[in-house]
Amino acid sequence: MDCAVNAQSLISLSLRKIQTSRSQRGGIKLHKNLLVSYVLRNARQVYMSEKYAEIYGAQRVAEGLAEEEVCGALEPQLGKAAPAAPLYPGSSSYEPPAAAGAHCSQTTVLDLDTQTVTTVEDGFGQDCACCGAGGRKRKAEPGPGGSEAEESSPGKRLRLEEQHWGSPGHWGSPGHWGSPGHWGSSGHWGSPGQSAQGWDCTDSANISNLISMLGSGWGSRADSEQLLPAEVKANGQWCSKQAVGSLGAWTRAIVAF
Amino acid sequence: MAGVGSGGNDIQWCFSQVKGAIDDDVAEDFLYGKVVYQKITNMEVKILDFGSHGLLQGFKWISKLMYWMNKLWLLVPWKVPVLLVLLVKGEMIEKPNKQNKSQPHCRGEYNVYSTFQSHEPEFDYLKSLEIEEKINKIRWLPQQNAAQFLLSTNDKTIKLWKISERDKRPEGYNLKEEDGRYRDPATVTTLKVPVFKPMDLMVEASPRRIFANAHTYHINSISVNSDYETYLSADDLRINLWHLEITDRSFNIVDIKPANMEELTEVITAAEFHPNQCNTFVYSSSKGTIRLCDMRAAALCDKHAKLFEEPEDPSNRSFFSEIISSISDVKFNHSGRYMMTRDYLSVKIWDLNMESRPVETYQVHEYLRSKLCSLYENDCIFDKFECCWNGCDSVVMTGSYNNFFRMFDRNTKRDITLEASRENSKPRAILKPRRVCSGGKRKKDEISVDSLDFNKKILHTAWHPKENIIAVATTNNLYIFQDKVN
Repeated sequence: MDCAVNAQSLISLSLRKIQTSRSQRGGIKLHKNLLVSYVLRNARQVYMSEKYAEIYGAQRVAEGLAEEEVCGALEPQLGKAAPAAPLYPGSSSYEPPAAAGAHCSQTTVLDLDTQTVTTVEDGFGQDCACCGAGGRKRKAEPGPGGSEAEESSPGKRLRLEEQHWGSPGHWGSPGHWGSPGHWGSSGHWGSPGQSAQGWDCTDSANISNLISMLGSGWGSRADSEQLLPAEVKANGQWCSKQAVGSLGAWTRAIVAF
Repeated sequence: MAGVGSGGNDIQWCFSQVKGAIDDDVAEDFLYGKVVYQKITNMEVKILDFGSHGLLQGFKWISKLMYWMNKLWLLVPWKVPVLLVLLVKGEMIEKPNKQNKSQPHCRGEYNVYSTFQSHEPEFDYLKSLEIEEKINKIRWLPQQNAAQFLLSTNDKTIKLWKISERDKRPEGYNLKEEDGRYRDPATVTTLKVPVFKPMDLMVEASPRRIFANAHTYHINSISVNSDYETYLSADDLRINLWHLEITDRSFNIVDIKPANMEELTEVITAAEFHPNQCNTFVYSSSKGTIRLCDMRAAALCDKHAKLFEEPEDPSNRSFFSEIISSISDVKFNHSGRYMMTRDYLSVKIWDLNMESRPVETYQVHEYLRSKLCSLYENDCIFDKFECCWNGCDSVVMTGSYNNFFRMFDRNTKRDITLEASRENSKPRAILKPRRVCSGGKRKKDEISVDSLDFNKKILHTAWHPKENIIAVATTNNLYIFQDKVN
């Protein structure tokens, strides 16, 4: 490769492209953003597998590791080790983490054709306490030309992104890689010393970090380096699933325009 | 007929004409959407003598280009801040050779015929989106009378334009002076019948139909059916069928929008009707697949009749595999037996009878495979190259970077790389084949990959349906090349 194909730099570059496309004349181009999201997904898979391989070396992990263990182990690692040589997808034994138990998710979809917003319960587990409160409202960010037209949900754009996290990656399986739709059978990830908990959907610190970075005009590298740690941090809980797989958030964010 | 390479009976391509601004600077502000609305009022056409340059001033950004079947016409939409569609008409010229014997040459000189603005920028108030006036596709309609008809489309609206000539005007009205002032009826003492008098040729373009409000996503293709009554328009997720006479209704014939947009994996990138079978059309996707649909099978052609897909080579897997497999153009050949697709690095020819893999694959610029990361950075990886067949379907042509364009001879399996540049544009100068060296020692006359100019790209090319005349569009210029006539 002619440039440093660093998965992390690709991630930040892709996010920057998505952000720029929002202010482009003519509206968001679905095709281009779809392709960018594929690169984003590929890069994130490699990044995750790099992290994974760092911790466990080249060995395949046996089952039985609690999700919490890994999470806690990962967190201190993030700051230190340089990422391993980029592993091309397909070459690693990376397996995406499984759902940590019953886990509900709410997805909000804006249908461009009918201009209606529908909120769909994903039905993974209806009684996840975290989502009992329903959607979070956020102050609307001024979009290109003003997205205040939709009065019913002023924060819709941001809510789409943040509420999506729980969805089980229906994001197609375009490649021969570990498809994001097929999460491992049992929890390979975890953090030590913490009891298995359902992921807290309304983990505001984590999500709002991400969203505010996106919303406020993405530009600096410093921001991008914050991205993944922000996702991982927050009470030591590993929000791996949404971090890695579900690019539907990006799609929806794109579609919303 | 047409061949590639030099020597023997093969074609040698000569420069013929170039049109467009001399200044090759890309309008940066236009790229990023800070549009300056300039009215282009002064168009100077300097036609010197036969074989020399014809220079037009004030044009930028060729965005589309095609020949029409039975005419020596070029249609060139120029993506300028105020968008124009430029028609350039070619004529056959007879020129005496050195022995003073008049010999008809199959050379055409193309001159500006008409210029008009097709679309205006609009604003979608519901979605707070600006709709660009940039023309995405143009298609001619078959000629049925003296006028020309064409369809042009921007992101949302398709328009049917009629271009007609006027070379006579009525003179001698009784109640009107020649300058249009009305006469006092009391001063009229005699009556005469107005007559048509010849006048300077005036070409008028008038919009005859406007097909609007049928596409939620950005229109990328239009294609006229062989029945000459209907046409299709395709956006990212849907394909609509229109009747040319009816503007308030269209039929949706393909809809790949998933119930949950989260599950979106591919979009439609191009669509075309079969040249002979009015019930058949194909559409290509961002995943590199082509689907052939038969409208007789069902009203909604979501279920394809054929699916053309080549399995991916796992050894070429990279971060950008999905991007480079996205098909940017699909073109049937003239008989309709084959179709050609263009993805980022290659041109593939498919036999409609075989879905499993293409029958021919030509690498356009394989040396870019190791550069994909920087091409992603500068957005060049999203460039949508087109491709075209020659008149007898023996040669295919497509563009590349550094103002290079490539031709592949399907019979001899030879290929050639040529360059469209002002430096090489002496009248009747023969184009020299170019070579790109991808690594190692650079030979004389070769260009290394790193010195390619990725701002100079040829996205649109067109081949005359009967002659060996090609039109090649660079960013700001239109080049016309012809085969060397002895």
